[in-house]
Amino acid sequence: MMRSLQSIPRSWLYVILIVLLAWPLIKPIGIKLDISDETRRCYEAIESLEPGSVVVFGFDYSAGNKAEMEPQALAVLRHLLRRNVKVIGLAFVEQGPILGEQAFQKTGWTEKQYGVDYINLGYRAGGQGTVAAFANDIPGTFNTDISGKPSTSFPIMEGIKTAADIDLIVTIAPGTPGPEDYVRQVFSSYQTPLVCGVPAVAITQVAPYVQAKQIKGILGGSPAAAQYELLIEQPGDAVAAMDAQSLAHLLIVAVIILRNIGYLAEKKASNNTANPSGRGTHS
Amino acid sequence: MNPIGKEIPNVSSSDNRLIIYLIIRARQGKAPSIRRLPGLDAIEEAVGRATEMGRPVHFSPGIVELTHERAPQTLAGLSVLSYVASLCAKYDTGLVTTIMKPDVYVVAEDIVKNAFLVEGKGERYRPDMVRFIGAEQFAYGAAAVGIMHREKVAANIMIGAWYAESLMVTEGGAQTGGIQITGSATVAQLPFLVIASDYCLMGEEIYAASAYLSKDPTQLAVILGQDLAKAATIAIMVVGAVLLAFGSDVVVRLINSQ
Amino acid sequence: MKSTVPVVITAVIGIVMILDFFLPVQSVNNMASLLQSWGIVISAFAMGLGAVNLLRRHTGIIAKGEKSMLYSLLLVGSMILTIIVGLFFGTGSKLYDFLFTNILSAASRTLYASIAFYILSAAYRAFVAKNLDGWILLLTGVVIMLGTAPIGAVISKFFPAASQWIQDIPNTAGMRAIMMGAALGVVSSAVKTFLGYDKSYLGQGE
Repeated sequence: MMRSLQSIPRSWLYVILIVLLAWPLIKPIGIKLDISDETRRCYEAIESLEPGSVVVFGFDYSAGNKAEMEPQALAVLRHLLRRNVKVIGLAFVEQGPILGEQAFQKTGWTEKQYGVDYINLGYRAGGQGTVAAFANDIPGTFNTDISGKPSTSFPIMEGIKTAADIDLIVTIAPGTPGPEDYVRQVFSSYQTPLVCGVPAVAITQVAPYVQAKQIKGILGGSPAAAQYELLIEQPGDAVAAMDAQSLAHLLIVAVIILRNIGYLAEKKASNNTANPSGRGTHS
Repeated sequence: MNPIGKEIPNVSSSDNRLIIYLIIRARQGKAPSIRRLPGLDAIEEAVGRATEMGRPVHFSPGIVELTHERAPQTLAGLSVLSYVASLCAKYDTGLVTTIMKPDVYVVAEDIVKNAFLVEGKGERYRPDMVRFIGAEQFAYGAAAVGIMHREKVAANIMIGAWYAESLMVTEGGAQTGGIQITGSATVAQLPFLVIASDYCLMGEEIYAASAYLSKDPTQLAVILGQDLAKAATIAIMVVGAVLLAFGSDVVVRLINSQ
Repeated sequence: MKSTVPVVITAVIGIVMILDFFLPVQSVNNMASLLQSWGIVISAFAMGLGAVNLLRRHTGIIAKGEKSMLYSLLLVGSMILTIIVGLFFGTGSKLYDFLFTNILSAASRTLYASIAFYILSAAYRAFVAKNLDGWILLLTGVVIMLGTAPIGAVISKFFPAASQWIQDIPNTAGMRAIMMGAALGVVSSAVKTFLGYDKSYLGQGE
C-alpha cells in the first residue's frame, strides 16, 4: 500500500493541481500576504521620486511570459501614475511595444497627455549592444516613437540625452536583455538607479547585483506583484492568484512527502526481504 | 565606449595572453590533461543505447540566436552536435535536432550534413534530421516535447542557453524514459536541468566540451589557460577579502580603478 | 580554402567587435555598428530559410497524408494567414492586433502555464531522499517552496526567513562562482574560435 505512493498516476496529480489552482480563483480564501523587504525597497525607490522626474520603463517581456510579468508592470505603472512623474516606455524585446501600449491603457496612463507625460519609443533590436547605445545616446538610439514620429519632436524628450538624464530605470524582463545588461551597460557608467521585475526563477540570478547595490530592488514573480498591489492599495490579478499559488506549493510539498514515504516503505520492505530474520549479515 | 571595459579589461586581456602562450606550448607537444566530465562521457553511451533500441536521439543547442550575448553557449552546443551527429552517422542511429532560431538552424543543418559526409554516410543524411520549429519560446518547448514523445527518442541531449522552457523540455524528455544529458551556463535554469537530467554540464563545463571531445592539444591548452585565470581570480578574491577584513580596501580600489 | 575563409571572416569580425568594446575610436565603433546591422539582415534571411524548412516538412506531411497532417494543415494555414495579414494590412492593423492578442498571446500564455504540471511531475519524480545529496535537495526545495508562497508564513515565520537566507547566502555564493567560471569559459571559447582552433561551428569539429 505504502509502496504504491511511489507511483501515483501523473494524471491524478494533474487533476488535483487544476482543482487547487482553479478553486481559489473562483472562491478566494484570503491567505495573509506579508510584504517582503525586497518589494518594499522597490516601492520606496519609486515613492522617493520627485514629481516631474523622468523614468525609463523597459517593457522587456513578451506574450509567453505576460502572465507572470504583466502584473508587476501594471502595479509599478499605477504607482508611477500616482507619483506624477514622466514615463518613457521602450523595449529591447520584439513584442514589448504592443504589450507596453496595453499596459499604458490598463493603468490609465492614456488619459494623460502622450508625448508630454508619457511616450512609447517602441523596440530596438541588437540586445546588450543596443542597451549600451541607449545609455550613451537615448534620442539617437530611439530616434522615433512607436508610430514613427521623431522622438525629439515630443516635449517629454527635451533635455534627455544619456542615461544620466534619467532619474530611475524600471525594467520588467524575464530574460535578456534584462537587469544584468542594464547593470553592465547603464549603471556601470551612469549610476542611474535601477529597479527590475523578473520571474520567480530568475531571482537567484539577479540577487548578487542587489547585494552589490547595483540594483535598488527586485520584484520576483507573482508574489512580488501581489505585494506591490497591496502596497499601492490597488489589489489586482496578482493578489487574486496568490491563494492558488499557495495551494499549488502545498500540493508539491505534499506529493514530495508522499513519494518519500513510499520510497522509505519500499526500502524497509526490501531490507526485510533480504534479511527476513532481522539479524545482521555479519553475525 | 562600452563601460564594462573600464572594469575588467586587465583580467580578460591577460587571460587572452596566457591562453595564447599555452596554445603555443601545446603545439610544441606539451598538451595538458583534463579531468573527466561524466556528462560528455555519457554521450557515446546514450547514442549506443539509442542504437541498440533502434530509436533516435534528440539534440537541441538551446534557444538563443548567434548574435545574442549568450551565443557562446549556442556555439558550445553546436560543437557537441557535431560530435553527436558523427556518432549517429557511425552507428546508423536516427537523429532529430530541433532548433528555435533560424540562424542557428542554418549552421546546425550544415554541421549535421558535414558530419554524415565525413563519416562516409552522406546518403543517410535526411533534411528532417534538423528541424526549425519556430521562434516562439513555449511553442518550441511544446513542439520539442511532442517530437520526443511521438518519435520515441531514446536519448535527449540539450546543451546551450535555456530560459523558462528548460523544465518543460527536460521533464517532457524524462517522461519518455530515455537518457538525458543537459548543459547550460544560464545559471537560473541549472536547478531545473539538474533535477530533470541524468547528467548535467554546469557553467564553464559546456565550453570545455569541444576540447574534451576532440582531445585536440591546442584546445586543451585553452582549458588550462581558463583554469589558471580562474585560480588567479580566486586568489584576488581571497586576498581582497582578507585585506578588507583587516580594514584595507586596496584590492577593491585596484579593481575599480580605470 | 573552404574552411579558411569562414575562419578569417570570424576572426576579423570578432577582433573588430572586441576593439569596439575597448577603444573609443569612432571608425571602429562605426564598423562594429555596421557589422551588427549585417548580423540582423542575415538573421532575417535565415528566418526565410527556416520558414522554407518548416513549409517543406509540413507540406510533405500533408502530401503523404500522415497521421499528424491535421496539425501540419493548421500550422501551414496559420502561417499563410499571418503573412497575408502582416503584408497587406500591416503589423499595426487591428486585424494583426486581433491575431496577436487572441491567438498568439493566448496560446503562449497557455503553454507557459503548462509548466506548473511539469514542475509538479519533476518534483514528484526527482525529490527523493536516496542519499545525503537527495536530503539536502529535498529539504532546500521544500523550504524555498513554502517560503516563497504566502502560505509558508502562515504555517511558520521560519519558512520565509530560511528561504531568504538560503537565497542570499549559499545560493548567491554558488551563483557567483558559476557566473565567474562561465565568464572565463566564454573568453577562452572566443580565443580558440577567433584563432580558428575550434571549427566545430563550421561542422568540422571532430
